[in-house]
Amino acid sequence: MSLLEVNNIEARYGDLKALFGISLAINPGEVHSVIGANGAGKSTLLKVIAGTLPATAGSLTFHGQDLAHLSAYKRVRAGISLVPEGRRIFSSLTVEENLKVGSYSRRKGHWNLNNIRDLYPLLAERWDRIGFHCSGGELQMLAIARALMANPDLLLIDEASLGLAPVVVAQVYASLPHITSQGTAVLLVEQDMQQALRASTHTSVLLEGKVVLEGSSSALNKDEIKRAYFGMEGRA
Amino acid sequence: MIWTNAIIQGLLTGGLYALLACGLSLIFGVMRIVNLSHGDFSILAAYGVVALAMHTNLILAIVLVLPVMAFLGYFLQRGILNRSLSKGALAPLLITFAFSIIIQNLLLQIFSSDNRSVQSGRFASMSFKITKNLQIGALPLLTFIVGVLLTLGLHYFLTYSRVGRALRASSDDPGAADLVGINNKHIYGIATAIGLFAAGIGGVLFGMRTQFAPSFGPIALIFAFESVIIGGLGSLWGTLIGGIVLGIGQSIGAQIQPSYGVLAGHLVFIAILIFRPQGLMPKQKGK
Repeated sequence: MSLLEVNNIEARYGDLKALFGISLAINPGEVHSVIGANGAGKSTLLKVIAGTLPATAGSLTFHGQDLAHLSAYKRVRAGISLVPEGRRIFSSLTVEENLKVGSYSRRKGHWNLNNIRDLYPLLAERWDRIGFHCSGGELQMLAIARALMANPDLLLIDEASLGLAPVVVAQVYASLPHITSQGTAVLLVEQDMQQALRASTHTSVLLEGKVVLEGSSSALNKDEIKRAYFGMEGRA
Repeated sequence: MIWTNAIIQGLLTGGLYALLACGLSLIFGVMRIVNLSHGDFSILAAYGVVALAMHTNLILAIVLVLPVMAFLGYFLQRGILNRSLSKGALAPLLITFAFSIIIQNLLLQIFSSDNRSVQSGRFASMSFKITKNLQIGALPLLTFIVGVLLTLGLHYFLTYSRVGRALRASSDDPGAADLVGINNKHIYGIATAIGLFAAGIGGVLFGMRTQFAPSFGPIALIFAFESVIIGGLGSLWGTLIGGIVLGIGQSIGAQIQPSYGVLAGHLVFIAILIFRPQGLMPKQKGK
């Protein structure tokens, strides 16, 4: 049994259908990346798993438990944490306070203030700075760190590298092995295909709300991915 | 000497306004709800104490009424106000307006429109002589101390406790709070519970100091409102300072001409709105 099983999930924004039957499975400690063009439904998929957007069809099971009627805050208590698009750091709270709020659900585990300091030394230097005054890179690290403070079994990261300097992106990706070494699985949404393939064990390519290609990240053929990414199957 | 006296008496009255206002400030700060019934809840608590004190002693009556106010706050928030939050800014405003009307008429039915007061016996007229011309009443002094202690207590609660941090997080970004495992509806309930608890303290002390009738809620609300605006929206210490400024303004006005007191307070409020609309101690950007 996988940690998370997504079966034929559909979702919509009002009249606009965004996901057309997505399925995937994630095991403990693995990094699963979801890539695809803008509007392919990557972020929508994460929202459905995190519980901020309801699935209109299909099922989600986590630790064998059906998630359907669990609202977002209860899914955090169950062990799913989302690093949202735009980071959503509490701007009036300091770095330390953001992290403490991250542990609100009181889940036990490896991650605490001390281990976060070791994971992201840059954050340790900004400990008393309020969120409003943090740079983009600091916010991204803080957003991941805040999610980790809940000691999730599954960490969902939306657009880890978006708008960040390459050196910061490298630091963020360098932290992933430390996270998965605690048994935490990571579901990663990423625009940067190379980055995603390098960091992950499994990859799903989304196109217009469907999974068009899926497999082990090392075994997938680059050209195949490109065709799937841009929806040029059968051609080229 | 008369002016020193006026300022000191005004300062002490400011503690009362801060008590009436700090719950209003908290409820607005966390949920962006303007609680138009805030003053009525204060008066409701005062009547509750009056009714209970007929059967038992004053202290016990207060100790019983205040937790009831907190529970009432929690359940009104979770049962009614939370449902209105997704329906725009007007819905919760109208609901609190309805609370105001309901409370006033309920009190009118039960207690009639006769003036009442919370009887505190000799304590009400006790005072300490500081100099020949300066006396400080025990009740105003107690009110001021309670006002400062409550502000201090709330400050520590919001800054250092788990739930206090969650309140601030929820105020910053409820969607993100949801994502770290915070149940916003519960947090909102707690905010209103604290707000009405504080309103209750203010109401009881108000009722010990002066006579009141069911229609007095809106008057208490106006003073509370002015304190919040003078101090700066969303700042707890600002609300205390705002209450004090309003109190001193009123008492200096009353010193010039006894009937000018309340008017002078309103003038201070308008002057602040014109010259420093963000208030004396506004919430820092992003803070």
